[in-house]
Amino acid sequence: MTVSGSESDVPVLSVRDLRTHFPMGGGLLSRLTGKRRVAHALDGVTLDIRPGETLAVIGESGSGKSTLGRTVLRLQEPTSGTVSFRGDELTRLRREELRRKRRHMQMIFQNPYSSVNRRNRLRDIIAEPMHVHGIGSAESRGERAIELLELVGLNSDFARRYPHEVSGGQLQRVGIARALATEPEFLVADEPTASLDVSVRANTMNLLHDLKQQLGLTLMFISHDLAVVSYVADRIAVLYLGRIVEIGTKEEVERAPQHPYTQALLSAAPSPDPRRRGKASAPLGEAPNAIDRPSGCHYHPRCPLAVPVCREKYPVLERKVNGQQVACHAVPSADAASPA
Amino acid sequence: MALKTSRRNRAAASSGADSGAGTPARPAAEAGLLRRLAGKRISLLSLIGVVGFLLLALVGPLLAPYDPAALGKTSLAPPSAEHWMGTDEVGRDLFSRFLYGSRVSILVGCLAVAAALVLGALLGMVAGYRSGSTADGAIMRLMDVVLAFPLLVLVPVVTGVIGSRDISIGPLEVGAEVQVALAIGVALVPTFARIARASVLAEVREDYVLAVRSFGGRRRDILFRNIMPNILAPLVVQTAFALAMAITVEAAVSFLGLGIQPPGASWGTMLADARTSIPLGAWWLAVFPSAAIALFILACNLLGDQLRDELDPRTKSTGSSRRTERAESGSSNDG
Amino acid sequence: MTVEPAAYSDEVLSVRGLGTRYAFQGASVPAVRDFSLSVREGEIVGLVGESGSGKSTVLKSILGMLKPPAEVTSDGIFLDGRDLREVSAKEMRRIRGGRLAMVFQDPINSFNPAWTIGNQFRRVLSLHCPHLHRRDYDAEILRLLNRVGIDGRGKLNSYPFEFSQGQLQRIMIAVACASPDLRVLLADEPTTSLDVTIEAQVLELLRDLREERGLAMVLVTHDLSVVAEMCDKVVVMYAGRVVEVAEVHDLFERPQHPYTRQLLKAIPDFPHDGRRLYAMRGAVPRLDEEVPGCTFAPRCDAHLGDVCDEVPPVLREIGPDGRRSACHKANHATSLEETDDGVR
Repeated sequence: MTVSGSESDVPVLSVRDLRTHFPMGGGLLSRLTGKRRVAHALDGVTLDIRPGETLAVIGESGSGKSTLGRTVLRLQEPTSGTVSFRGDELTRLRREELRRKRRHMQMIFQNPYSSVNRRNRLRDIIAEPMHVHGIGSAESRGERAIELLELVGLNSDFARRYPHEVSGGQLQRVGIARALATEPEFLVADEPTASLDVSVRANTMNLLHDLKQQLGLTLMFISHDLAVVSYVADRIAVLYLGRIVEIGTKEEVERAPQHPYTQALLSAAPSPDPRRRGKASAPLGEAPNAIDRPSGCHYHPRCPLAVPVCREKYPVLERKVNGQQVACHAVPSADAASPA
Repeated sequence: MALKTSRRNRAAASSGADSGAGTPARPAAEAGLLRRLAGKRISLLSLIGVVGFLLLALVGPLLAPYDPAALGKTSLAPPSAEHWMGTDEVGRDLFSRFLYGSRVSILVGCLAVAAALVLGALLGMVAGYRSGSTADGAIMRLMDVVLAFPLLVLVPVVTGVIGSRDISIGPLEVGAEVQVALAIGVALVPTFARIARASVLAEVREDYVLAVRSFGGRRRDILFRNIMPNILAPLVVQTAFALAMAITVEAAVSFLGLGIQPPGASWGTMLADARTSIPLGAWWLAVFPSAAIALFILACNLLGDQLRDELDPRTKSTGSSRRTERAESGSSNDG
Repeated sequence: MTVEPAAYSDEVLSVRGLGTRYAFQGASVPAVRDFSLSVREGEIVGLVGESGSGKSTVLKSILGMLKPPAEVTSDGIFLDGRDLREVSAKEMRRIRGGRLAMVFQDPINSFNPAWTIGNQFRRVLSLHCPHLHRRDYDAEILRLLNRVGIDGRGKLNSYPFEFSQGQLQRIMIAVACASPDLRVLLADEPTTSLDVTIEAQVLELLRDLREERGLAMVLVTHDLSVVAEMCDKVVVMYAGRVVEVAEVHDLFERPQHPYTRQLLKAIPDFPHDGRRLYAMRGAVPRLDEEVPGCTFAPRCDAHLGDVCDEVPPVLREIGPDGRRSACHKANHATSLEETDDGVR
């Protein structure tokens, strides 16, 4: 890691009460009556990511995890709240200032084929960020692109190929190389392995892990799969309908999940062992959507521990007995002497 | 039949070999587009037709045996060795007039389409990239207004407004032909704008556009470096159809006396001249320009159809095997 | 596989020597080669493989859903002893969705967005339940929906977009099970597009349906966890060929083919102890790539030498209960125990 000790306490990224709401189109009638429905994709997210740290954001579809990744990079304008990168409030920067800032924070996408321009050679794809920031000459950018290809484990023969001529795993490496082209310190990886085959997934994870160590990267790793993040994460945040329901170190969340939803996520995943068949238990009911959210704690209709107060009041995200922060009425808080 | 398929196979195989070598000059979709077009009889014929007419426009007048405006001794002479297409009422050599007229008609058509393509694509791209904005609304409503007028009304009105005489702007002289071309171009802008807007709307949803934004690409990087090359195919197809349309409109407008003015020749004015002579049995006055118009339009439309077949990804599998496999097994690895 | 048809009286679906070729860049390339399968009543057979392994092509070939230029050849596809190759196109339409039904991966694109769920359901009933009276349709639909855990009252006039992914997947299962004659359910990655919490519910539903109706199932998936959770027998495919066939416990405890072993090894442990992940070399070969020997040889950790690169291995019996593997190593090894290195 290239970060000195005194600096390491200052978060690379700090997010305060971030909200991103999407107005839904709705029918003609709802437009006339003026009642626009709103999807609360993100609803008050607060978190810090320290230098060199990997924060995993876990959630199912509709949890707002991808919106979070895009909003912290301000690829999506937030409705309210702030995002600060190295002390600069991104949410207040003007367009050109933000654009210059972007070379320090990059993104890795889920689908390698759709996230690159299918008409460009791999070399040009990797060089594109350097081009838009005016780094180096065309020639030096080309050389740097080849270095980056080698950094992600592809030889220079790939430089002249087109996206459709390489496999998904190889193209994902190119996506990673492109993200590293401007030597950023912060990366958002949005489900980088979800569209890859099982046999090449591990390769990509190992690569990300190595690069993180080697370059001292700070990472936000978005995934729906706890098993995938277990390898790279230092801390884990669990998102449900736009809010963090649990956040803590990897050990805390994995070994002793406190929120009933985190527990359900862990126990619902089938295990690759036929002897443990039928042990997976699913929470009841359908995942509600971000438009019609249940009152109070959004998880209460599916929650086995629900008590009457859960229907009325959204629980505060606070430190609980095990150490991590949890938003649940049923879990005793750290300073409460006895269970509630 | 058998011949056709084997040719197609060969073309496909050779483009496959290109990409197999690892250093194809361009993406497979375009590698040897011309070669692929030349591989099919219909597209080869239409290609020869369009190129032939363009050549005619360029070099035709150099071959003219007479001055197209020079009055001759024999009026209304039928086609002969001396006058290949006969002569008209005032004895002008029809073949020479045809060669000059072809140049005017085709150049007017090409200029109109070029203007429409550039303007339409630009407006459509801006509208599509900022869809839902005021700019988008304004541009597309303007296009609707243009489309609301029938072409045959719009073009004379526009030429009427700018006047169909030569205009001198300093040393630059804008000929009447250019004005007619621009007028036709204006009428063709909406089609290009709509196609460009729809294509951009589809591209903007792709992750690569988000990716360019994410690493700090400016709007011009996104629109011109990344999106534009990806939406060229439908615009190219439309260019062929628009060329046919422009030729028709020019002929019709000139025929009505509202486009190219006599004594200048174009296919339309030649037809207009023929009106009075046809009752006298001078069929040759009408046959040659009409045949030229019909053939050129046919060639353009056929070429457009063939281009669409070649460039449309839905009707052609130019993807890689891996893509094909993916399609075959569904995206089985979303999990 | 050369299973004698008489060997299992309760065999409902049997596929022998299936080969499917696709037209690709003007050439005909094999997507599936020499595939055989036997499914007994009430049995769930898993078809595992990565993208490009041909597993979905197998299902489409069985259902007769592939159109030229794709070519399907086989030595027989038998449903209850009847060869589907000899069935007329008209009757095949009745069999599809009748005795043999399919559940697709993507529930949203499997319904017609412009039709209500009720209408789509009624059409299926009119095709496959000829004895049912028209006025009883709605009651039957409600019963079938109720079975998959959806209260359909007041929802029959809803359009597909008004349901969630998980609900639509259940509705699709209800539609697939509408015919009283249903014998075999073919499921193509039925839970891949679903969230974990919903996936568990759908898997449970499929298991219950098997119990109740004695359905046989062919479950296509890339996820070994789903296989462990659901299947009795497993067929592992790689690059269009079957590489291993085993009973589910055998497969997970004593995988024989190196590909199976490496796949199992590639599943990350949870919670993870920070050890480096096992990663497989290389990638699945392209459809048009001719691999001379064993198609897995370039990625194999147990590579023996020239024999693997030059001679394609034969799928041969290596144990009881129809245990098969296509690997040269199985022939070299004197006993099964000799080949159990490096398994989780």
